[in-house]
Amino acid sequence: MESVHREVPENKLQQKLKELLTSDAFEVLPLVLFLAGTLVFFAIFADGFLTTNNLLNVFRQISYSSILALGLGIIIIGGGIDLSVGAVAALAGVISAAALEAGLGTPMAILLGLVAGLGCGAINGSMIAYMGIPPFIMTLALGFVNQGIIYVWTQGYPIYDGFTDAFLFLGIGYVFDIPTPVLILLLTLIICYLFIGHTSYGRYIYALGNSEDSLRACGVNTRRIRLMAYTIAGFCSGVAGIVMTARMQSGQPSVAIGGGLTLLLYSITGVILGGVDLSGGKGSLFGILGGTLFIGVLTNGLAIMGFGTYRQNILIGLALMVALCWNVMRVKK
Amino acid sequence: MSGGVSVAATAPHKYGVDVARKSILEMKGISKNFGSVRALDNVDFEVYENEILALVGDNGAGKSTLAKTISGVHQPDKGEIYFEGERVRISNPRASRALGIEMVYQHLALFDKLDVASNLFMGREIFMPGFLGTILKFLDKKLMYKRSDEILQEIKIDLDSSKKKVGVLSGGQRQAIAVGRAIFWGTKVVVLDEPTSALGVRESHEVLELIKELKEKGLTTVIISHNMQHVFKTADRVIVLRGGRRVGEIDTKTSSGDDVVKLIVGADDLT
Repeated sequence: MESVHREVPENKLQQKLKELLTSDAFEVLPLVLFLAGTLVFFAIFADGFLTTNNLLNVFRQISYSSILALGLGIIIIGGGIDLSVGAVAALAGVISAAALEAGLGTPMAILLGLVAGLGCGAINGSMIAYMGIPPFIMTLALGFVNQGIIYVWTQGYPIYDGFTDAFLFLGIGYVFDIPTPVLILLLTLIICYLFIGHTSYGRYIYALGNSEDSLRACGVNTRRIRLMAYTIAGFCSGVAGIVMTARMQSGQPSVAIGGGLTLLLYSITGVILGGVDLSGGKGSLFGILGGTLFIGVLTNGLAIMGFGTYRQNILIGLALMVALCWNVMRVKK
Repeated sequence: MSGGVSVAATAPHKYGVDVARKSILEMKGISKNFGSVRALDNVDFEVYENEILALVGDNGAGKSTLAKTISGVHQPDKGEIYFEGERVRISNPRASRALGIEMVYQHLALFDKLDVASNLFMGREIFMPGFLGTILKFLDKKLMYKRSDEILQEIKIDLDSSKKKVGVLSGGQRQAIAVGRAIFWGTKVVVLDEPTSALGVRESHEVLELIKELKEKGLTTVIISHNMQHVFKTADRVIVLRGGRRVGEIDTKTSSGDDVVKLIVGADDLT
């Protein structure tokens, strides 16, 4: 037997191809093409698109859906899904608006909004991790519970009263010419990146998305990690809800319609376009930001050209489908 | 099986059968039922220090159940386990790791979309010094990559970087990493579940050589395998299970593969 040192045909080309197909750069290829394409298109056909002011506007517009997308991305990297992010943001926003209306002050309004987000994430996480409820169903249900609560409570009326300048600063203020929501987005990005890219918890979330069994065999409490991922996403939703409410200068119940579907569409498209593997275990937060940036450019440019929200949604939905096809093709190799 | 016998003569062998040997792991009267199925029936099992022991048997003989009992995935319904002479209870995989037992599963248990270093250090990361590491659990990535490259050299795996994703590696490289992960942590006993079943000829040879080298370094190994040639090429001793019972023990120096196969299929019953 030992003399049979035949080289097992290791197809170098095949291995190289496999490496290329699974490389991070290849992952975001459609995103780069989309983004470049839309930028060029709008620069030519949309008057006033390519101005500093408008580009800052794009960033401001994507700020809260991007914060949502970061949280959602962490869940998907961990092998889960959260359909409730939009509705959680809506609830957090309405709660902080109500706190302002009740005269509890800015810090309390922010705190209550964040607690609402954290709480929803923890509920999702514990039901999924410890009760074994499929995340798709659990988060869908929670989204509609939130919608119901918001509408029963507000009767569908926006909450305007009692907004403080300090609170509004979070949505419409500037720091050195940079809109506050953009700064909050960048801050969230940095914190999430440090967490998922540089701590053992973050590494376990990636590993969880690869194989829960293998991670458990390594002696890691996988349930706790799963709960952690959903709780972080809940927190991000809380932050997004507060920024959104400050930007709209009101607590808007209508955001929760359909369980926060529009926000969900925006953030999930950003995540998938950004190269996060829908089956989990892989993805970068910077990619996600690229994905939501594309959506921002698309909706902004289309709006300038006179296309309404519904037509924009058609295009975003289509972009999500293309990104999904790309994702599935790559997984099949 | 004649090839197996000739190789067996050259297999490394430290102990004669009659020399008093010190057992590192001993299991007495282990029974395990799954519903009405009796997977293990009063099995005695012992592993001696620094030997390579092969655990063989047909499908359903109870090999995997026994291995999972050692690694803490299953708890026995009856029986006692001793590790280094002390009675122990292995209630979960963490407990078995803490004793110094590592299991390398048939399906490798690697994380394909993560790089080599992440895989090698999963669950045993190196943290940054001070507050960043102890409280915030920040990883010392630089040190982990450096140590990973050292581990790769140690297990003689031909890889230019520990930053490569495990998913793009060959079967042999993946197995070596799985074994490397298991052995690098001051482990005393490694249990390998079908380490060569997914590998080609050359890759199998490399993994078996690695196992023999680890023996030189003082490691104790249990191999679960179907392949008699591989068993006789590496193992010092073979324990055979059939229908959840221990039906024999064989010294690879004095016996042939045919003897083992007879025990596996229960050939005496057929005649």
